[in-house]
Amino acid sequence: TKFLSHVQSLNTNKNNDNSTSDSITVYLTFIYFASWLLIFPLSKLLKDNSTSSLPISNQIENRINSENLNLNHKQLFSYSYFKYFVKIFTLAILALVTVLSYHTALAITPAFDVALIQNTSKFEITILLFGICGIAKRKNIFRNYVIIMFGLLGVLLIAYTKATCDFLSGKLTINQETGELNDPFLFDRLKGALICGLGALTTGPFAVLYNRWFNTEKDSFVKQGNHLLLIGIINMILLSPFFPTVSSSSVSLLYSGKEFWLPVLSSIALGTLPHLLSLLYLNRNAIPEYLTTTNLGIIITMGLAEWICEPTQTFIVRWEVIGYLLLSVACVILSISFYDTRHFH
Amino acid sequence: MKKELVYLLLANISVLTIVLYTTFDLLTLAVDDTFKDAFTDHELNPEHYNTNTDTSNVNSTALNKPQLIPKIIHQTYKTEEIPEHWKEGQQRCIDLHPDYEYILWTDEMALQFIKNEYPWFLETFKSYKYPIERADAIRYFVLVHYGGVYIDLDDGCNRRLDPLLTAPAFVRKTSPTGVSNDVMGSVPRHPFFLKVLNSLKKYNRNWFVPYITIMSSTGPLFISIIWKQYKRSVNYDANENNIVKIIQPADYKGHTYSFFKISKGSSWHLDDAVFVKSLASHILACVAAGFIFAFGVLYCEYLFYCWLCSRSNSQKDLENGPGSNSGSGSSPSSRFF
Repeated sequence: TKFLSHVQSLNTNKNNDNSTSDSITVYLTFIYFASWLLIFPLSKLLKDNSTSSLPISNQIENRINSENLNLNHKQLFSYSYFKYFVKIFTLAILALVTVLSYHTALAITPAFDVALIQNTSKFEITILLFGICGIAKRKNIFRNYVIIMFGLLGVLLIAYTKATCDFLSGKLTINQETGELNDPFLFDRLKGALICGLGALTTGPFAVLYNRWFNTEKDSFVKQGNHLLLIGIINMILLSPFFPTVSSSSVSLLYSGKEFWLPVLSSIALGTLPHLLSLLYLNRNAIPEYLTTTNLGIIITMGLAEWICEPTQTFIVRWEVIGYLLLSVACVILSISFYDTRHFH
Repeated sequence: MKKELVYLLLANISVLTIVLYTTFDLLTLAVDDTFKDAFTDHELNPEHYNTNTDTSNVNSTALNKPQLIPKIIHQTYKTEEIPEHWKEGQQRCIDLHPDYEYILWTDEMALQFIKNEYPWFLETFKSYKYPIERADAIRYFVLVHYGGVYIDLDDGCNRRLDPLLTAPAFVRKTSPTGVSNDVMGSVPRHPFFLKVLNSLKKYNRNWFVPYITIMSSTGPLFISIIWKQYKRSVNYDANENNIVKIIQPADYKGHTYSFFKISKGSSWHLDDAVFVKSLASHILACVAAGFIFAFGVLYCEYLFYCWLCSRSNSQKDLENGPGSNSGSGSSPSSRFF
């Protein structure tokens, strides 16, 4: 997120107009989904530790399917392909909304704000929908709810003290005449936070449907890598009509330098790919709600990243530390509470 | 699907529908389309185009628009003794416009005016809890009755207002969205301001928080909502004289060509306004709080649903006999907690 935010800020520094900003958003989203093509080969490195009943061999399965359905062989194939395409397309759209809103928000809001709001929103919607749709276990839910709310209180404290820290570090100033905050980008920050927060809500249905359709006992890592590859390709096709023309001088100037490519490739190699592979691994080997704790972990990591990347511009106040502590403790307790090996029945 | 879940879903959908219906006008404010009716540069600075040889893009009708709004400047204050820090701005408006009529509406004059000319509104006018509501309301009435330009006392004039008078009515764009009521102009009985007048009673509600009550009953939020409703009405595009022009931020203040120069205002702000303004300093926390609150409510509903399910399961177990629950190893309620 820090690298991508840096790329977006290059556009702001060059005083380019909104259309260039939109072009870069589409371009970065395209590159993000292009990186999903690498998931398929990399998924072969992952180890499946989940437990399942004895696998039915493909031959027996096909025989059962063709005996049970009194349909023409061709019709059976085309119907199943159509159904598969509809499922993949639905997941592609849901993923596209999340990622596009993320990149749109990064263009107008600081990276920390985007990371905080997006991961809070993702955490909330996935844990809620997992429960409602019967994917999560209904065990100790009240206790878990209390712990979750403590964690979210920590998030709120962090969000609240962020303004104080920004003011102390000189990122925000006070208007001497009116005594009010002098933040010319106030409404951009509000807009960005709302866009990424609301856009992230589609992660919930994505997670539920993905678990229902493509995380059954017969879906190995390689198969799932294949599904993600197709989702990536579909989104690249969907984005291609909006792809910015490379001939535009201000846009191509931005693309050609290492100040663009180095952060983008670093973000893919050090961020997107490890993140996706870890989600794939956890989703397969642990129960679904365990995965949601990674969102809380990302917020903590983002705070650390801010401190590491901007040591002279980061002020730490007491309540911010308390917020991070609350969040960390909640994250650890939830991880312990949710941790269990996945059993496919 | 279990019937409890169906009832919960129906209840949520109903609540959402009611909330969307009641806040529809507010939600339309999220779409900022003030630029569509903005004053253009050739309307506000015709002298640049008259002396410029290249006027091929601007025809002479556009440059030589007649002045429609009467040359009257209205301002309001509780008495004639206005504060020192506003006197300069007031005097500048008077000095720049010697050919304009100037009227300072005091509280006493406003009350008499409403009593004499709009007695149907007198009861509502007197019932306003905050003086600023009366100050807001009177400006709409004087514009409907006399026409002219209303200017807040903290908005001093920077240049002559003549180019603004070519529009049948105008207001100014505010941030982040909508319009404000601190600078307005109108011909007498303009349909937009007639709609504003007729809406004042309906929007006179107490929202318990003074800032929100004032803004939504007579203030900028109120006039922004009415403006959006007016634009959606069938009359808007039917006649050129129905249009309401919008002064953009750059033409309002902050530049040499701007019409106004601002001094310290917001004298009507109470303590809650300080709190509301402080929310702007913690905008990230406000958004996070919104998401957390929504999650808290929805997850509570889910907990309630699970509790209902666990209760109905335990009732079924009791009906089936004592041995039916022995396999689970724990009661539904202990699993819940």
